[in-house]
Amino acid sequence: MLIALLAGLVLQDSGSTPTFTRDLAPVVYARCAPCHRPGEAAPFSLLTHADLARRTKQLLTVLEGRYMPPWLPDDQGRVFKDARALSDEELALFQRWIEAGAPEGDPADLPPPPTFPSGWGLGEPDLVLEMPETYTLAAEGRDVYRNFVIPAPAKGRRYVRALEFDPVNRAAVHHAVLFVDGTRLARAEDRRDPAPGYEAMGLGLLRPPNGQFVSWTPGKGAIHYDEGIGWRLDESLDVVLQLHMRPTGKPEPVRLKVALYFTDEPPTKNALAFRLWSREIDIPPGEKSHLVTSDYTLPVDALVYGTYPHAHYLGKDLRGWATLPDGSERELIHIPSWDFNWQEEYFYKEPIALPKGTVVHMRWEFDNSAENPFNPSNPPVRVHHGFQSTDEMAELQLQVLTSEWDRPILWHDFVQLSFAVDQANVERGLEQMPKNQRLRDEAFKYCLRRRDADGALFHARKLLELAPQSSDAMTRVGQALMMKQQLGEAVNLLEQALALEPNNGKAMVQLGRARELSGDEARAQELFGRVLARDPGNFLANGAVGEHWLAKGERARARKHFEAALATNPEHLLSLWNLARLELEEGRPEAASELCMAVLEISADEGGAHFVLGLIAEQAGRAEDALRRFELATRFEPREKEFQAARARAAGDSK
Amino acid sequence: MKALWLALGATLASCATPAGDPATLPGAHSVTGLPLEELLAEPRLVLVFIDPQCPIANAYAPELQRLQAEYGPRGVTFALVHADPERSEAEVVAHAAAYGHTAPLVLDPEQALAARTGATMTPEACVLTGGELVYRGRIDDRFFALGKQRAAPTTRDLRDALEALLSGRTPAADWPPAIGCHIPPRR
Repeated sequence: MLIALLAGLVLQDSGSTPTFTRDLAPVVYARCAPCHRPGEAAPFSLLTHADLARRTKQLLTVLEGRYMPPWLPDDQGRVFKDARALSDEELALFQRWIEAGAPEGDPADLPPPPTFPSGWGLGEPDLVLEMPETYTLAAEGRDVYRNFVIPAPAKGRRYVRALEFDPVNRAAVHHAVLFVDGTRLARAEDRRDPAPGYEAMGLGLLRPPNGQFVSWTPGKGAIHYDEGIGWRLDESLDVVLQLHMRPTGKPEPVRLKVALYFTDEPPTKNALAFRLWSREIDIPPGEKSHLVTSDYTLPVDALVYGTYPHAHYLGKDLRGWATLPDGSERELIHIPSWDFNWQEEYFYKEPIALPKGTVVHMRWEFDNSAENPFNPSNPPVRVHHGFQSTDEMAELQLQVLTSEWDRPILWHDFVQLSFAVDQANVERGLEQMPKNQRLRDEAFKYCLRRRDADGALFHARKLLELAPQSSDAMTRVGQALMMKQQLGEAVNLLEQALALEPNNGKAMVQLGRARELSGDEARAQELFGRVLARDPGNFLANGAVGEHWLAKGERARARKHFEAALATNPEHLLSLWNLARLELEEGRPEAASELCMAVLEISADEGGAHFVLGLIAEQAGRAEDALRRFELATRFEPREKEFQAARARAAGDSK
Repeated sequence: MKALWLALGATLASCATPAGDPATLPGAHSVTGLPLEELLAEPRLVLVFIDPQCPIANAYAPELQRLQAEYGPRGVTFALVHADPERSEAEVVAHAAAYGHTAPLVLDPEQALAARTGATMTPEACVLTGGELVYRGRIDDRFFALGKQRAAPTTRDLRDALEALLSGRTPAADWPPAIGCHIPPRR
């Protein structure tokens, strides 16, 4: 009886004529007004009854076509945070209201209008970063994707706990993503491009700070991190803003600002972003439905709290899902109608816990037919993997949290898999073009990264066959022999390489390393000295010389060289963790620990940083932590004798 | 539609003199350039309905200016019509300056010109010759939906219509609809 009565009431309510003041206003304030208000991104305001009543036709067109509010996933706002999506019920409400002639209703019903902060939403920022120069966006043409480099000011190490973008010119800036770069490579790209910033659709070597996707899209306010989450900023880093700009019909000045709010507390939880992706993309022209898939088995427990899909103009439909160890399936995201220009990241309202052994899947569908109006080629052409707008990509990034001990394991597993995929791609190229020296050299480098000494030697020897008189090729073979611990042969070959080209800095550095390892320290230091005389900032030579002096206990000399290496390449990891070791030896375990954490944020499987953290734990009497760190160090660098010795020592201690 | 326009053409022709009856197009007037009566008497006229608050209409500013530069010397007159009753003279003049428009500006607050031409969208191009409407629709197919653009247009409908007209042919009879913003109705 009661149920019937309630149902009747609900029915009666949905049957009555909706009014703006009572029914529409709350939806409009939440779904439209964040962008459709004075000074915001949208071209006109949608705040009052009059604003809406005069645009009812337009409203129906954009709402029924799901063009507004712009939201690609089909979750209707149920799954993801800050969704701009309209639910089916909300759409029906608009339709009934417009059908009824868009009545205003009783003014007494009107809820208080939304208030939006003027100026920075979180108050006076600790630091405002601004693009160093104004970029002028041309009046027309395709959307522009460009990176702008902003060096961090030299004010010591701080941690970002909150931030807010101010696009300033909201008509032109459609989307902004923040990355960091400590390699100085973004600066070099910027210098090569005469206009402010440089053109870029992909990331290159940029990385999300501490694994966090940081971005702005229209309507998005300040980003405030949960306790313990955040990211490091210091003068070793450049902030790189990737802007997606949309021509408006007139030249537009673009100079974006970002307000930062700091804490001195380093984050206690480090996120990790990894991607499902495929490089095996080969889409025949005219094909309407071409699938590219990828999956990945999680080696540890992970909590997924964000996702970022990425494809270019041929992408049509994306599905991401997980198969849990118990066989059950869990949808992660579905985008039924991809639009490259509205790509962004999505954060789950309820993060999804995926146990170790879960398989995560990605399935992209591409449309390379002439009927896909986004198709950049007319008529369609065969499309492969690549970073240009006429190439395609198929990616689904996942942002996860793991335990502190699982993070390096997931990182290592994933990075090794990435190298393997990239290497397989290079090997496929070599099958087609076995004499291509650039591909051969890339294959060699992937073997180095994967610590695959046999593979490295194989490719280095092939390289030398192709160029028997090349000093560089000989150096590669020498490097590979060193990995295989064949020091005598390595020294011989590297001496030959240097004889062939007496000023070859790479040969000098590698010969120096080989001499050092085989006990000929005098010759090693002479070689490093020659490199540094010509190129005082050479980070490889500085790192090697620093290690030499550190081993001798000459800490001041060692520090000078590590610092010189880091001045050239602030992310020279070997110098960073050796500097940490030096700090520890000089009685500053906190500084040492901070340096190690910085290394692990950049590269969580850097064995040296785990080794030094193990030394710190050992010194503090935390035997169990020390053993775990040394285990990680030897897991990632199985050939390092010093790491092995430390592990054996700790294993003995903890018994 | 065309027949209707033919019937109205006579009225237009009669108001193409200084003594013409302004009541036939209530409210419509030129803000810059030729008076409306003279404008409407031009032998080949393109009226493009635009609006400062329509991003697609704005995005076409460079293309409209190219068309004007190309077809102006060949005897085609361009004018930009604002039919949203909320637009003021000062606003449309400032908008033209910002986007580099030099074509005459027309305000149509009573939407009389919109009614005559049947224009309902911005940007929507109406081509008139001798008082007859021979094309009404999109400029080209660069936009295939709101906010969605091709790398380059595959057909340039307004240009095709003008080429036909200038070579003495009748522009094609299918008028592809304009994609953009609905002109808000009068209160």
